[in-house]
Amino acid sequence: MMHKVVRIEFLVSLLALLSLSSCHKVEVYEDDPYGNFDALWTILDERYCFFEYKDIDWTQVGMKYRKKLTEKMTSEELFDVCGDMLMELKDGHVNLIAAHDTSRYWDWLYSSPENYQERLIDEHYLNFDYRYTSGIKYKILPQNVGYMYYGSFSSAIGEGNLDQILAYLSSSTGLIIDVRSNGGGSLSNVETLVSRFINQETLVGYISHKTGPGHQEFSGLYPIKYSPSNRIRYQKPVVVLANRGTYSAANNFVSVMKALPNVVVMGDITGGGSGLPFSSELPNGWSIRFSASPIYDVNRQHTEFGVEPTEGFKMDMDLEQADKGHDTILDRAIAYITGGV
Amino acid sequence: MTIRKVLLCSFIGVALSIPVTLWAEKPKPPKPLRPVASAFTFEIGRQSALDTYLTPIRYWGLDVALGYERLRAASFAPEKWFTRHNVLVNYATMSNQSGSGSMMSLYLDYSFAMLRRWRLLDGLWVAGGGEAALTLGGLYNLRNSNNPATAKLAVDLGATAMASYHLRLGRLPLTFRYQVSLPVIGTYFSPAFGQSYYEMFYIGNRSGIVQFGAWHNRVDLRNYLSVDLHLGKMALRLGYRQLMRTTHVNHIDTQVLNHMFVLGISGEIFRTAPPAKRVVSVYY
Repeated sequence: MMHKVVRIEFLVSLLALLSLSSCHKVEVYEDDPYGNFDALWTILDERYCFFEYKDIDWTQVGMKYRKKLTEKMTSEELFDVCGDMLMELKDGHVNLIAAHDTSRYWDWLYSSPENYQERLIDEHYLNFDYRYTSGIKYKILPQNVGYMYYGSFSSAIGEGNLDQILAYLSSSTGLIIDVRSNGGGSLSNVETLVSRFINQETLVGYISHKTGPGHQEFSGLYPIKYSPSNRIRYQKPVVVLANRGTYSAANNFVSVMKALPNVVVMGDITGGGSGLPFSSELPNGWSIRFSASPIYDVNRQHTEFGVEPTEGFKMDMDLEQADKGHDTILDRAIAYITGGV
Repeated sequence: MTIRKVLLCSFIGVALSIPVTLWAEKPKPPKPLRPVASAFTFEIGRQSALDTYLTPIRYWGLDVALGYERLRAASFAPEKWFTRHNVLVNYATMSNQSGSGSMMSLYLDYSFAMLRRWRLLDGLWVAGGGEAALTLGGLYNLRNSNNPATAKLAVDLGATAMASYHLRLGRLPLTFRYQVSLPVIGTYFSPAFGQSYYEMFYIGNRSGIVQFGAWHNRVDLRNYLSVDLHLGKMALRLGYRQLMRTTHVNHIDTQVLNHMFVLGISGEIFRTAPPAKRVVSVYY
């Protein structure tokens, strides 16, 4: 009899233990306006990484927009309410993606001068005659200044291509790396490019991640170090050109280059976007992208709202001069390399 | 040395050698043949997967698998103990309820078990023992940005049990079998709640990615029911396999469930032609 009792207790204990994990409840939201809204709010509440830094009261934001829901609202109306709520985050990495539209926050772009005209460069500086590989346009300008324009860090940079570019530009007195209106891409391309401008292992920043759903639950800062390339490395002065369209991985590139000796950043403040974006989704199938893991600069500072140019080199393009075929930001970079001013 | 001493030494030597000779000449019980019971299976079914590192939405879809198993009586006590190797590779392609997202999964499972068996009735036996298992695999969500996939790597020690019943249906011999495996402790891989694979494997922050696994944070369960229809030397295997993989760690939930119909061939392979020797079959 005693044995039987012990066996039953063992079985009950076993089932209880199994239930600890296997039956752990995962919140399921209904596929209706309220369910989808709550799912979106919760995903961001638990996973978005800049609430504290941006001083956002997400609970208040949720209450404000939840009041705008109705049972019978259309999918597009729900999308608009959700999109408006996401605008409160002021984050270009936050997008709600539905079949009919993608919500986006680009206010920092709209409220700033563009400071870059592709046609102007191509026509008046490159004369429509330049080399192009790995997404990089490059040429030695008449002042013997190397120029390369990299429009997207999504374009994979081949090491062999980079060898060719730097070998070709090696006779120049200095190099201008133009990443204006570069909207970002892969961080591995940042390292590939930066490794050609450093001569020893270099601390370039820090990364952190959320360890739990609380707004303050973060890991410690983990150092990011780049090693120098063992291929061709550029040793002469470098100017990096940036504008408000320099975003995400390009923003990270500027923050890394700015900390290197022999490098000057000119133009406007970059667009920011320092949170590594993750994705998730709602019951109705909409995809949500959001900043999940903050990347800091070498001084442990956020660059979510952008990187300032080197002191004394912040400037906007003179549009009157632009009409006459002059990119005054590029002109200043050329003058800096040729005359050091 | 005198002749007497030589005779004495010879006598002692002969006397000592007699028992040895007698013992050495005692007939050994013949070693039984231990045929390998193998099965190759093709499995098809349905998988549901939820991994909150990727998405809080459950995905469903078609699952196909290839399986191999190998059972053999142990050499040290063939009547009582046997070993079992299981290999299973399964691939699933799934979508979410709205049809807007797709996910794929690939798993490789290998396990080695040693079981003690007991014959309860003629044709019926049960067995229980320990099992070591290795799981490699992952889930891949086709539309995520920097969290597109999550790897699954686990090493477990656990308990396993089997039951087999052999009977005839008319002139057709049948073998029914049920097998269950329940990992108890082990280690497994998991990222932190919001940690990217970029941070772990590109930047190199791998601290805390190996978890101690037990029932408080990880429960896997593998059920397997089969019937072998003996058609000559080989058998046609029909069956059902159910796999459950669940973890709850770092505020990340993973629940992957498989239900599969099993079709395969099985049989016993003799390394030498069976002479008139005793055969210890694992379950026939």
